Amino acid sequence: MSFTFDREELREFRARAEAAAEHLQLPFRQDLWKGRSGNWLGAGIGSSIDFQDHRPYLPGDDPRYINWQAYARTGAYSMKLYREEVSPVVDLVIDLSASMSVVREKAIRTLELFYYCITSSLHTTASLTCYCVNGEDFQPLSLEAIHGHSWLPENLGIPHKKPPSLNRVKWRNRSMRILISDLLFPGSPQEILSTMLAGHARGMIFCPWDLSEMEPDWFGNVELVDCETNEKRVRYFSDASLRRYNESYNEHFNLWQTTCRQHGLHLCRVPSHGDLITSLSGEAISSGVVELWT
Amino acid sequence: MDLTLGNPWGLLGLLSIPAIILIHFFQRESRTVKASTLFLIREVDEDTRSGRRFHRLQQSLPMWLQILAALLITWLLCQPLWLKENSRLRVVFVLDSSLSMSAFIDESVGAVRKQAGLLEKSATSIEWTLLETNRAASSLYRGTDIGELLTVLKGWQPALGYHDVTDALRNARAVAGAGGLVIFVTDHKEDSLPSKTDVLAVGSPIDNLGFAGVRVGNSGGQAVWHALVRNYGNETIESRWWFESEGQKSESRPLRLKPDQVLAMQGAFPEGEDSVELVLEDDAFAYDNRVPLVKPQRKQLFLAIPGNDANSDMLKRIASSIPDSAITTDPLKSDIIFSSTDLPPTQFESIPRIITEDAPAGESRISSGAIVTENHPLVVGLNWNGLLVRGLGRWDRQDADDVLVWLDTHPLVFMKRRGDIWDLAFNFSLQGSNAERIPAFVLAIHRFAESIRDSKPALEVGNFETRQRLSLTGDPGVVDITVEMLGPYEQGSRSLEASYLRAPDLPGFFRVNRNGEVMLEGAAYLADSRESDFRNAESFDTLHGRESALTEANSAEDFYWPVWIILVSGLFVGSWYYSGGRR
Repeated sequence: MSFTFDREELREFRARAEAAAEHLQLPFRQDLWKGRSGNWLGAGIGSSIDFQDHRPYLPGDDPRYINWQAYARTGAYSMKLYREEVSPVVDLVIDLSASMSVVREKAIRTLELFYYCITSSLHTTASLTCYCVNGEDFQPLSLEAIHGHSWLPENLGIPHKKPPSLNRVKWRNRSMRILISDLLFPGSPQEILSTMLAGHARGMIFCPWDLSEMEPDWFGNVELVDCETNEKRVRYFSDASLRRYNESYNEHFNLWQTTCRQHGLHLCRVPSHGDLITSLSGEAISSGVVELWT
Repeated sequence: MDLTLGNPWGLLGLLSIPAIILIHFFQRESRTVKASTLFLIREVDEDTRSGRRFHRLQQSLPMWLQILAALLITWLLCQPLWLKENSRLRVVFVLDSSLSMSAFIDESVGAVRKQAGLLEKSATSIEWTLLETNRAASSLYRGTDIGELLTVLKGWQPALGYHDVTDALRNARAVAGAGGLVIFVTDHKEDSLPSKTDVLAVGSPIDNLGFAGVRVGNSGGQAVWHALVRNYGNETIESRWWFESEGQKSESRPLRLKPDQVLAMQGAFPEGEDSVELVLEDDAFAYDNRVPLVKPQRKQLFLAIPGNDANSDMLKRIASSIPDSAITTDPLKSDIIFSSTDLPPTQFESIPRIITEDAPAGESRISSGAIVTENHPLVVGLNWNGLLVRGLGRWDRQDADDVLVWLDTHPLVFMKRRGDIWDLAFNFSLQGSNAERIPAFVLAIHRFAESIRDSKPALEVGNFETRQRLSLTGDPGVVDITVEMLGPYEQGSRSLEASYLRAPDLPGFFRVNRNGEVMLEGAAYLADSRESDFRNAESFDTLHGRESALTEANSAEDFYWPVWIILVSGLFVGSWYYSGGRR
């Protein structure tokens, strides 16, 4: 399986993602943003019409914000502060490694999440940059290509042995950094999480998963072919060995959850079964990865 | 309740258990699956051998479920039957008493043991009865211990020749009852048997050589034996024969007989021997290999002719022609008195007489009239028509007398009654007749003498067939009769009533005593050559499946079989489920 979808299918995925974005949005309200002006509350003082505070004038303050009515009453300069309205900065990285499309449902859910993040970001007029990675391969995605549903690179489905490398992503300071990945690669999550959180950024991971990965149908003799490396192993799975596999699977994601919590990064595992809204309504809301639209 | 299997072949279902275990020794053929989580599988995990190879037993819950299902299916296939506690069965084995069965005693024991083993689970309580077709014999065994029955059977000795078994089998059916089993144990196929009678044939063809017949005659005053030897087989048989007498054995001589060939042999009794045995080499059937023979000896008759008249010479000539007789001068020691005159009744009153008319012919004219013969053993078949009589006798016939021959209305020959004694009276002048030249006259005297000999209580020696009916002369009220068997096959003695007196069942010498006095000495030989012919002997039985039918009739089927079927279905579903079917 690989990401081999035609435009009609991509359009359909996007439609479902837009429907989800009507109810759920990325957690822009949970933070104060800085950046170019926009429609979102910023971290500093701005020129919006929302009153924020009064304070004495200090040299260097913008005289435009002196409260002349108060000066008339009191004879002292005071500043009238208004909230800053900015546009959030969103850096979106999608992992297009072969494991993401090992089953069709998981591939669809991955693309739905990608479109959801894009849609939700654009609703907030966020500054959005998108990238796709496959191991060490890296490719920025243009919004034009995304809107035209011609963004899926043809060479990213090639099996790749290494975990996704985020070093080449041009993260922006104080951006909302979103990674869509199944996290199914060996090694410590430390490196990836450090990269995502550098520069006072806010990190989030959408982790699509499929039931066939958690409880695989491998009873008996099975020749396993690694979807990324084409490595083959023949194994005999009994109930006991399947139980041990399941433990390993849970341990792997427990490690990611724990490490993410330690770094203040949100991780949400999104099942591939069910519709997107339902999948995002559970763990995603409770973990703060999405929030209800108000 | 005892458990029996209605279908023992169902036990073959147990073979599925090693098959299941063997299958579980193999690993399943692997299937290819694309996986994204290969790195999560522990390298040290067990069970990681590849391919469809003989590896080691993969114990698993499905395997045990499948084994349990196989056991239950085997149980159902075996059609378990629980014997009813009150089930009863009578089994009557009827042994063919033909002497030929003696060659198959061991086979009979084996067949009965085997059949009893098959039948003993047919009912909770089985009563075994062992009978034989010899109706004179009593029941051999009746009880519930098959071991005792077999012991009795091992010691059983058949004794009869060819005989009708129908009555014995009907009697056995009466013993067994309508629901019982009657099994006829024989060595050949019987054409007609009573209905519901099963056959257990234990015979097999045997090439047998044996004596087919024997007699002892007299030639020139010397006893001569004549014997027939027959080959009853389908192959040429070579053997040897010899004499045995009082432990002495003559030189053996060779014999070679083709199939069905009969060889006649004869020879004189060895000098000085009164009894001998003709012996053939041993073979499978022994009783026709030995023929005991004795030199026959009839009872001696003593005749007295006390008078000295005109008939005396003629009577002496006739008396001397009677075989095995002697003329004595002492009438008191005689068995028959020839008398020309009617002696007074008080003189020699216990001795039978032959009375003739000694008066000379008073007439020259021959008495005319038709001669008529009565139906009497002494004169039956004799022709008196040539008899010419001049001068009839003077004796009057009494009412108690039996007339044998009439001349018109005159009793010519009659049996004259004198108390318990019968005299033979010729009521015409011998001198004036041609009686001496008439065979009927002489034969009538001989027949009378033989009847006196038969009734004379004295020792007799002879050769008889086995089980030949014997008779002893004397008072029929005497019951103390014993038969002593002197071998070679049978030894001992047995008491009998006179009416059941027979020669021994098996070939051998014997002696009959009455009140301690030896009345008869003899030798018995096997005369029924059909018992020596084993070419039609065969083994078969008509009992196939009978024990199953009886068991089924006396049993109740497993009440829980629907439960087992549901359980088997559940086990199959469980096996499928735990084998990965749920995935």
